Amino acid sequence: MTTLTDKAASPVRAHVAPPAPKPAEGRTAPMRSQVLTTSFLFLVATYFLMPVWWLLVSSTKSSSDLFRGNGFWFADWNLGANLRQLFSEDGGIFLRWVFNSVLYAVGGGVVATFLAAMAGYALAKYRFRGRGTIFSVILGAVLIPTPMLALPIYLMLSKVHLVDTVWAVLLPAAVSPFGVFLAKTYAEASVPDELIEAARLDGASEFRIFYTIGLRIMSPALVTIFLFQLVAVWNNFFLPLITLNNQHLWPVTLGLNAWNSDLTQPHANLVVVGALVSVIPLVAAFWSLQRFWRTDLVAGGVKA
Amino acid sequence: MWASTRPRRGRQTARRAAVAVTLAALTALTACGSDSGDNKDGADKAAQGDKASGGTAQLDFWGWNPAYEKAVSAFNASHPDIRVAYNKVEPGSKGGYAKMLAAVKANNAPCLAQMGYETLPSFLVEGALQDVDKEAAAIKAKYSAGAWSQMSVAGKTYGIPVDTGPVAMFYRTDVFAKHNLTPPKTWDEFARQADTVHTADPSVAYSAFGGNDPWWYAGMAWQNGGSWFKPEGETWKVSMTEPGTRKVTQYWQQLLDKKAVSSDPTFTPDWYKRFGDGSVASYVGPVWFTALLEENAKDAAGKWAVAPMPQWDAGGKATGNIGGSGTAVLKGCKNTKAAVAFADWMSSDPASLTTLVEDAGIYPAATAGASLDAMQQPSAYFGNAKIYDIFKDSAAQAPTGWQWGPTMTQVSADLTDRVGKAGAGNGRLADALTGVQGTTIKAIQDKGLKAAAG
Amino acid sequence: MSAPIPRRKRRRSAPLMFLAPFGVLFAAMYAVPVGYAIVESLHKMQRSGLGLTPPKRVYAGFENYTKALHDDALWHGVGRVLLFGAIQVPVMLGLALVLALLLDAKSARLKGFFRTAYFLPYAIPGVVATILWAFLYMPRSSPVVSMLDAVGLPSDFLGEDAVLWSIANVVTWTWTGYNMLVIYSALQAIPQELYEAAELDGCGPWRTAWRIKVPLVAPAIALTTVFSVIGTLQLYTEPRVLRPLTSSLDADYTPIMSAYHKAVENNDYGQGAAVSVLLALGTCVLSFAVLKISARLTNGRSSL
Repeated sequence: MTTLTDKAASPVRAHVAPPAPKPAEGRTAPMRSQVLTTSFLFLVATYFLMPVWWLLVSSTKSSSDLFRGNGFWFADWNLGANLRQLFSEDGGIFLRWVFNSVLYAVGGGVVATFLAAMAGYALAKYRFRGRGTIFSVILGAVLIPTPMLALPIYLMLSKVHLVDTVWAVLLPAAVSPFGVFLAKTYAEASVPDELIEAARLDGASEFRIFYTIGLRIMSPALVTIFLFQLVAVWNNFFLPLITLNNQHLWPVTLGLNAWNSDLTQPHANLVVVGALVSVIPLVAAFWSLQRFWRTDLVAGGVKA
Repeated sequence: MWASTRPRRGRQTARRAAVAVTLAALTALTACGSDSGDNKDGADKAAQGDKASGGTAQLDFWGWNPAYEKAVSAFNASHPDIRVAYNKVEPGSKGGYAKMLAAVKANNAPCLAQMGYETLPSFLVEGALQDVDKEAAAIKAKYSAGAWSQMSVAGKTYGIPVDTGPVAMFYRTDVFAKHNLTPPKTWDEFARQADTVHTADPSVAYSAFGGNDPWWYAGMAWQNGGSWFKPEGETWKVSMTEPGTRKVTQYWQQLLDKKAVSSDPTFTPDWYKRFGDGSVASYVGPVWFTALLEENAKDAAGKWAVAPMPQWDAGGKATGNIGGSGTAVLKGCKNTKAAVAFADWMSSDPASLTTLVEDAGIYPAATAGASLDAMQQPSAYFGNAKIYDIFKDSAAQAPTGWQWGPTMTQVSADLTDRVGKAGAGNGRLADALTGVQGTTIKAIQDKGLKAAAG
Repeated sequence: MSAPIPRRKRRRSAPLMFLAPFGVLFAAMYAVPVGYAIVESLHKMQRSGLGLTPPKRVYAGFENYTKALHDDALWHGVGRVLLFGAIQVPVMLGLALVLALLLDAKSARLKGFFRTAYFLPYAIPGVVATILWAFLYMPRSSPVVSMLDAVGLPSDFLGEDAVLWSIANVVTWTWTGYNMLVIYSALQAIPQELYEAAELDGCGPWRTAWRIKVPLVAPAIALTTVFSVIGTLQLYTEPRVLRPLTSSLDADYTPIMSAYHKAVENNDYGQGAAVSVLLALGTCVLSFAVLKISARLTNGRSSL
C-alpha cells in the first residue's frame, strides 16, 4: 500500500500469518446470551449502516427534495431521473471516471501485488547483505506524510512528460511498501526452504521456483495485498488531483469532488447518486474475493 | 577457490546495482532541483502555446467557471487558426491556484488561467506571470479602466479582465412586505430594519453575514474608501484596521451581537436553504450571486428583488466590489499573441459575453458589455425586474483606490478562518482583523519582503 | 548468454533481480521525492523590492526548521491530533475488539450479515465518506440534527468544541470494521483445542475471551494500534473536506493541514517540507514507542 493514497495515510493495519485450522462450531450457547449478543450487534450495525441508508434514500430524491422533509425516508421517487442525469451529465463522463478508477485500481493493484510478492519473497528466502536495512527502509515508507511526496512526484513526472497521462496515476499505484511487508512475513512463515532446495536440485531456475512454488503458496497473501492496494488506489485523491488536468483521465473520487465543490451549478443530487454508484464496484470486488481473503489470511499474532 | 570468490562477486553486483540506483536517483533529484527555484529557464517545454500543429496555435486554458467551456467551443468553431483546450480545475482558493503554481514550477503551465483580481499580485510575486504589454496595448480602450488596472501591477499588464463584481442588495419581497419595509437607503436604516425583523420573528435573520467568504468582507470595506494594501517605496503597508474598515467592523459586530443577521458558512447547502425558505431576508452581495441564487434557491423564484447597496452617508453613491476575475497569461506561454487574442475575444465578443452573462451571471469588464441585449432583459427569477440596471450603476461607483497584496492566498485562508470564527460568535471581529493583519505582515516578511502596519 | 552461468552465482544475484523492479519504482516514488523534500527544506526563496520580479532560490540552512519549531499554530495542531488519538484510537480498537470477540463467540447469529455491515464503510473512499457524513452534520439540513432536536437534544456537530469528535466519528466509522476484521481473523486462527482446555478448566465464555483470546490476539491489536497512531498523526482528508462547511476548522487544524497550508497556500514549499520532515520523524519516534510498549505488554510477542 502506498502512502500516496488517502486511506494509505493510515495504511492497512494488518499482519499475515499462515493459515491456521478453523475452529469447528461447538455447542450452541444459551438463549439469553444469544439474544443479548445479537441485539448489541444489531445496534452497532445500525450505526454503521445509517449513513449508507441515508445515501440510498437520498439517491432517490430530486435536488429540491434532498434537504427537505425527513432525510431518512423517501420522498418523490426520482432515482431513475437521477441515474439518467448521472450517466448523461457532461456527455456521460461519470462512466468514464468509473472506468478510469477501475483501470487504475486493478492495473495498479495487479502490478503492485506482483512486484511486492517478488520483493517480499527475496527478502524472506535469501540471505544477503543489507537485507535488514532494505526491509527497514521499505517499512519506513509508511511514516511519510503525503503532501511531502505529492509535489516532488509531480515535478519528476513533469520532467519525463508523464503528467496528465494514465501513467501519472498508474506508476505511483504500482508501489506498495506495505505489500512487501505482508509478502515477506507470509513467505517467511509459509514457503518451506526444503521445497526450494528440492526444486533447485531438480534444476529449476530461481525465477521458475518463485513463479511455480513461491507464488502458488503465497497466493492467499497475494489476494490480501491486491485488495488492500485496490482500495488504496480507488481512494486515491491528492496525487491525481495534482497530476491530472484532463477530466477524461480523472478517477471517480476526483470527479465527485469536482461536482461537490462546484459553486455555480449545484450537483448535490449527482454527488449523492454518484457516491452510491461509485461504491458498488468496490463492494462487488470484496464480495467476490472475500472468500479467499477474510478468514485465513490476515490472521495476526499467532507467529511468535 | 570457486566457492570463495562467488559470494564476493555477488556482493559486488549488489553494490554496483545499489550505486547505480542511487546515481539514478540523485540525477533525477538534481534534475528537478535545478529548475524548481527560479523559473528563468521556464522555456524548455513550457509553452504549449506554440506547439503548432499544421499552422494552428494550441493554447491551454485552466479555470473553474463552467460557462467558459461554452465560450471556448464557440471560439474554436469560429477561429480555425487557434485551438483552445479548456480544463476545469477546482475553484482558485480551493486548490486551483495551487495547481497552477505547481504547473509553473514544473514548466507545465497552461498559457491562460482564470484568476481572481485579488490573486494576481501574489502570482507575480511567485514569478508565475508573463507580461503582455505589447499585445494588450491596442485593446486596452475596450475595457473599463478600473477592471483593466486590476490585471496590471506597477504599470505592466498580465492578462485581460473578464468581469467585475459590483455589489447590490438582494432582498425577499415577501418578508419585507410582511414587515412593511422598503429596501434601506443607508446602513443605519439597514440596522434599524434588522432590529424590526429580528424582534418580530427571532427565527428570521434580516440578512446574512458572509464573513467566511474573505472577499465579501473586503467588498464591504472597499465601499468605505480605504485599501488594505499600499506599496510605499519598497515596503508593503498593510492595514485591515484603517478607519474605513474599522467602521465596517464595528457595524457588523453590533448586528452579530444582536443575532439579527445569520452567520452560517457561505455557499453551503445550509446557507442556500435559508435563502430558499425565507429565514434569511436579505443579502448584500455581488452580481454573480444572481446565478447562484437562481440555481440554489429555485423554489424562491419571484420572491427575490434587487436594490442598490446601502450607503454610509445619506445620499452617497459609493459601492463595493466582490470578486471578479480575468484571464491571466502564465509564465512560459510562448504564443502570447494568440493567448491575448483569445482572452480578448472571450471578454469582449458579444456572443461570448451573452453566454457568460446568461450562464454565470457575470458583469462584463468590457465597456460595450453594458449595452448587451442580455443585460437589458427582465429577469424572470427576480419578478421580471431589469436587475442589471442596478448593477450598471453599482459598477460605476466602486472607489478606485483599492489595492491587493502580495500574499493573497494566505490572506484568503486567514480571513476565512478568523472572520468566519468571529462571525460564528467565537471572538470579536476587530480582533480577527488585527490578527489577520499581523499574520499577513509576517507572511510577507517570510517571503523576504518588507512589510509594516500602515 | 552462451556460457552456462554457475547455478550458485545465479542464486546470489536472484534476490537482486527479484528486488529490482520494486526497488526502481520505490526509489522513484519514495526515495527521490523524500530526498527532494529534504533538500528543499534547506532552501528558501529570496525576493527583493516589492517582490515584483521573479524570486531566487537560496540555501537557508535550518531556518525553515527553526521557524517550524517556533510555530504555535503547528504545536496546537500536534496537541489536537494527540488528544484525538488518545481518545479515538482506544475507542475504535476497543469497539473493534468487542465486535470481533462477539462475532467469534458461539452465541452470535447472522455473522455474515454483521461482518459485511461493519466492513462496508471501508469500501467507501475517505473523501466520499466525509462528504456523506457532512450531509448528516450540517446544522440546518441534517436529518440527524432534526431528529435530535425533536427529542430535545440540540446538537452542533460542526461547532468549535464538537468538530474534532465529529471527525473522530468519521474515522471510527470508516476504520472500525477493518480493524475488527484483522482481529477477527487472528481469533479464527487460534486452535480450537485451547478453548476446549479452557472449558474443561471451568472457564465461562467471558473468562475465555479475556484470559485466552485477548492475550493471543494481542500482537494483532498492537499492530492495528501502531497503524492507527500513524493514521492519526497524518489526519488530513476528513478535516479538509469538512473545512468549507464550518468556521471551526482552520487552515492549521492538523499538522498535515499546516504543512499543506504552508507549502501550497503560502507557496512556501521549503517551509512545508520542513514541517513534513519533522512530522515524519515524530511519527517514527511515536510508533516506535507504541511498538516497544506493546512488546512489553505482550511479552515480546510483537509482530513487527
